[in-house]
Amino acid sequence: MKEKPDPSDEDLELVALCRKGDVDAFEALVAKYQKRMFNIAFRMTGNNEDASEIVQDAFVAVYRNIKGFQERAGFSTWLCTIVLNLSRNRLKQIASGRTREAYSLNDPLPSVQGTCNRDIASDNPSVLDTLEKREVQQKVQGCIQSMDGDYRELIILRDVQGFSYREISDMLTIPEGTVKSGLSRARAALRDCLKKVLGDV
Amino acid sequence: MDCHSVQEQLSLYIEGDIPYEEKLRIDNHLKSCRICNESLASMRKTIQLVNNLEDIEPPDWLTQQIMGRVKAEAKPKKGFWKTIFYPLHIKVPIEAAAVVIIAITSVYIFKTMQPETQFAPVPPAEVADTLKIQPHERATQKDKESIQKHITVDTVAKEQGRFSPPLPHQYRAGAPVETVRDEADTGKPEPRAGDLYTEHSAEADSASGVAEYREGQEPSGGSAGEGLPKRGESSSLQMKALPEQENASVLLTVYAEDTGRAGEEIMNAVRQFRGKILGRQTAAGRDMIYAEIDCVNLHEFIEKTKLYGQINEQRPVPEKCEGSIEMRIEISGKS
Repeated sequence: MKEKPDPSDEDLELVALCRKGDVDAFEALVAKYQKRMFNIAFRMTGNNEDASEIVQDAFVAVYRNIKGFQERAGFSTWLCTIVLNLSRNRLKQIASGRTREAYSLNDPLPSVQGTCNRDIASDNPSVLDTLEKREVQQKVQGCIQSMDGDYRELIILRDVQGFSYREISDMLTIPEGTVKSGLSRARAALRDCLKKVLGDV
Repeated sequence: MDCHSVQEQLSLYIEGDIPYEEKLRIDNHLKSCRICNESLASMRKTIQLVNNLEDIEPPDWLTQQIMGRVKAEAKPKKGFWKTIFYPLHIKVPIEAAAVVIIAITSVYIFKTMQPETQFAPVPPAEVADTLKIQPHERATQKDKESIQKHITVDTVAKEQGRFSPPLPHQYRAGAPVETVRDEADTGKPEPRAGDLYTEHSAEADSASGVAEYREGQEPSGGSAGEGLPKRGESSSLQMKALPEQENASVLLTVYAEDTGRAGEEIMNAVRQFRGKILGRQTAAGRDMIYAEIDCVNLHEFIEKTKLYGQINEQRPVPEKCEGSIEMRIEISGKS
């Protein structure tokens, strides 16, 4: 599990500078958060180009609206909310553009380096060990993408990015209890998917 | 505790986010349930797999791209003209406003220019009207003046309305009225061949009070008439009378006990109002002052004159006039 984001004083100082028109301060925020935001967008869309555009749009939107940013929520939480919203919109666009095909074990998996054929897991558990680490990761990503939107967001925010329940509750504007119960079901669903993809978990 | 409820809580159990009692019960169940143990293991493995997902490096150009767009956002605020003229949605209203302003200005200019452009094709109804009325007025007024032997003040009216036009047969349609009036105003018209109207005005002026006064003659309607034939330039009797009518704008008689002093006071008053003393004539116990005064000060001056004696306006003082106006003021002993 990754480090929790710290909505530190440093962020707020940089935000204050940005409000005065300090572009360098904004660049510092970009440098600090762009990788994390890019990864969230990538896990959401599974696509490098989409993720790049989403992150760009998100930062530009943040810059435009930085004067309206309320410090009650952390800067990273705010930024994440924007990235999530943009990702959802992008997914909606994609879905309306082309009908999403049902997840099939034989589908080529989308990946950073292009597509690759899915290996069907055999009953032999040792096969898992022989798989390339990257291939496993691609399959996990495939499963994450195949999930319902809400489940996918919960898995990405909690298990991939390691946000706290509290932060996730802020981002998705749902109660913490709902986050916990949703996450349980999301994990179960993911486990089922991985079982199919990897054969054994 | 059944497997179903245990499996529902496995997620929280793994995270340790569960009440202690609940945890104990799950622990108890797990000791005896192989299925739930497997579920727990697979759940742990799932979470671990997701946790182990490696971060993907964003493209190198991403920061540059973001900052490029951000700086483009920040820049336009600095370029004032660009901000105003560059974006289409602002440019259009500016153009529309410009068109409206130009249209309004053109109409305004056209309207202000109109009187001048309409000038040439003269004989205005106004002139024609005056022509009809003039002879009568002139006669009565002149008679009165001569009978009373009071002042005969002739003042050159600067207003167009008060200017008497020539007789119909002498008037030349199309002659520039403006010119005529100007020359009459100056009182030093240059006779122009073929421009009867101007000539008569000139004579009228010189024939009237001012000129006569300088010659030491008693100004009267009669003398005005005499002046003309001498020059041999007018043959019409009616024309002789014209000048007086047109020139006399302010004819005042001031009845004062001490005429000498009143005369001095009035002269002072004229100077005080930046008027010009054109001349003074004292004869047979009557004191005549010829003066020119700026129209702006006319009424104030007359108010002041009332301080020196009872005033009789031989002719109503014009409400409005332009430029300066000539006055003939007679100071008379108490009536």
